[in-house]
Amino acid sequence: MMFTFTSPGEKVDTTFNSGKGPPNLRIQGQSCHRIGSLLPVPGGLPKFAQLYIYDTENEVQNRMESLRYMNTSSFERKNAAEQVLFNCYLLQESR
Amino acid sequence: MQQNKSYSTVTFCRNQDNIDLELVNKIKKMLDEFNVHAKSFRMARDRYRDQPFDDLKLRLISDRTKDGRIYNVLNVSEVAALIVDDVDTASGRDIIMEKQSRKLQRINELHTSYLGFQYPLLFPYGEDGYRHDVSHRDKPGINRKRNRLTIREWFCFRLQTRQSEALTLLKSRRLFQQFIVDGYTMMESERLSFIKFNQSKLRVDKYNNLC
Repeated sequence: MMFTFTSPGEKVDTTFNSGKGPPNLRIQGQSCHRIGSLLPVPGGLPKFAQLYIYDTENEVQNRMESLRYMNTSSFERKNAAEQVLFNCYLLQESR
Repeated sequence: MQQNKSYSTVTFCRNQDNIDLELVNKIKKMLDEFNVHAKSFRMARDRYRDQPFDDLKLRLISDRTKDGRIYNVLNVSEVAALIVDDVDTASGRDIIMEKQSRKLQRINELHTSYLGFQYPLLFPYGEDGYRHDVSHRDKPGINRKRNRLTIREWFCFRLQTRQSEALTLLKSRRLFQQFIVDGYTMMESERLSFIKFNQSKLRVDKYNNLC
């Protein structure tokens, strides 16, 4: 993921890869690879092939960031979901 | 869309905090030195650094003139070309990368570097993946209707273990899983496009009105 030039556009079944045993990848629907433009849009972080072109002085840092950025966003999403669930729970309690 | 893109890192990099900086640096150096695609993007970077205001486009070429199977290491001019301003007539599978846009464009499965772009660690030199113009060996006495290599056959060839070959692909664990799933979807889309383009051969009109 850190070095690829293209971005895989697939719907991945994430419920599948949680237990022990060999790693699995399960996808749904038609998959394809996509490629963007040479430079990131103004204000955007470089991704995929753009990492080879844009801001190469800090390239290693950017590569690590590209991973971390994705991770934090998913983490935040998870947090938000948990918050919603908790709120629902509180509502039920108060009734 | 965001979710689609970020899946691999989310599911596969469970311990993202211990990424080895040194290793990232080493792999980067290795790719810079040997991978033709990395080199061609670096070429675009150098050009952009020299003339930042040009409207540059990068054309990623799909068709090859040389046979990639017999010790022909690719060079940059065979896989990519920088274009300023106008786009000349390119083959339908070639990718034209714009300088700056929000759009993502789809890559044709039959693009020769389709797998090379997605798996630089499995194809460290930027080797060609499946090529649609590879013919079968001639066998005397056997006359086959189809004499081109299919994606399924290419993957069968690729997934073998060989004494003379390192087991990089088969030992790459999760990346290998992704590679196989990807390969199967390539195969399926090839089959679908066969049906799409051979409607007249499949005599659709005979059973068209049945249902």
